[in-house]
Amino acid sequence: MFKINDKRGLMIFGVLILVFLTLSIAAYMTSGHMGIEERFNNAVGIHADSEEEGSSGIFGFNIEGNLVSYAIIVFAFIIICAVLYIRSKL
Amino acid sequence: MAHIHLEDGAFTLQWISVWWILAIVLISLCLYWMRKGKGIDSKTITIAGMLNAAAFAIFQVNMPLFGGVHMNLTPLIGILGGPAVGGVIVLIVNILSAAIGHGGWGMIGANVLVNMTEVSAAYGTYKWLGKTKVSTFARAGSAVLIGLFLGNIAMIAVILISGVQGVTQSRIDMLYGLSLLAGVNMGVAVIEAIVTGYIVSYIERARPDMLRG
Repeated sequence: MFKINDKRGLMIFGVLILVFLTLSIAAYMTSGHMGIEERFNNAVGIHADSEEEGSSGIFGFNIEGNLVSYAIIVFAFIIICAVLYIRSKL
Repeated sequence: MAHIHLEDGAFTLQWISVWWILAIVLISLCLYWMRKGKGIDSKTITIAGMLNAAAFAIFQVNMPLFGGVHMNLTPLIGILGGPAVGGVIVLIVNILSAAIGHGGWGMIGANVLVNMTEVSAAYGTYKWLGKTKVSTFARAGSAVLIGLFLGNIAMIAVILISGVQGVTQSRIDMLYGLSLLAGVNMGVAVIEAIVTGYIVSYIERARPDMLRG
């Protein structure tokens, strides 16, 4: 079972989560539903004409920036990591 | 997650230069520290490469939460890599992100400073909580929340100090708007805290040698 320090740590973590989640929901309700760029522009007072409508992605998840470049860089990273992993015998 | 999502031209050239110079000085210190400290062995390079790959891949994924937010794994970078390696990783991630159109080139300096705040704060909190013998999950999760909270404060400070060109909004209004934005950001920080907590706990069980302490 959990030790006393573990319980205390989890309780503090739980309280932090509750505080930040409450703050977050309150901030979202106040500022309204908007995309990340729009939220930023609104916060600093930039009036963009209209935000480009991005693709809806998969289940609402989408990639910021150029998708092809993203895929190429991630693929390159996978190759580099595989080589590093084999060479370092981690 | 704290990342300045403003396009090039939002800050004056003077402030872009200031943030870039500060970021270069800090990155130079990180490189110096890495060479003077334990040195850079192949294990450190491999962990740094993996953290870089994971951070870049996650950084670009917009989640369907609160209208669109993304994680950035900077606290995990701090916990596993430490502030020196972490500083170099966030520079690379920010450069690659700008290269694919996520954030402006001029914002890289400011964003590196914001992300380095997250890396260092998470690392410091994780280390500090190590003395209290709390569970790794709570330790890592709390480090993430503190790190990302301070990162958001750094982001607000950078924007308020620089000011934004071509807007009529006062600094007070900007502070209010940015505080709401930071509040929303902390929602995804909660998810990031739980995810990072599980990752670090798993690494501690499976590969304790990868954790710095």
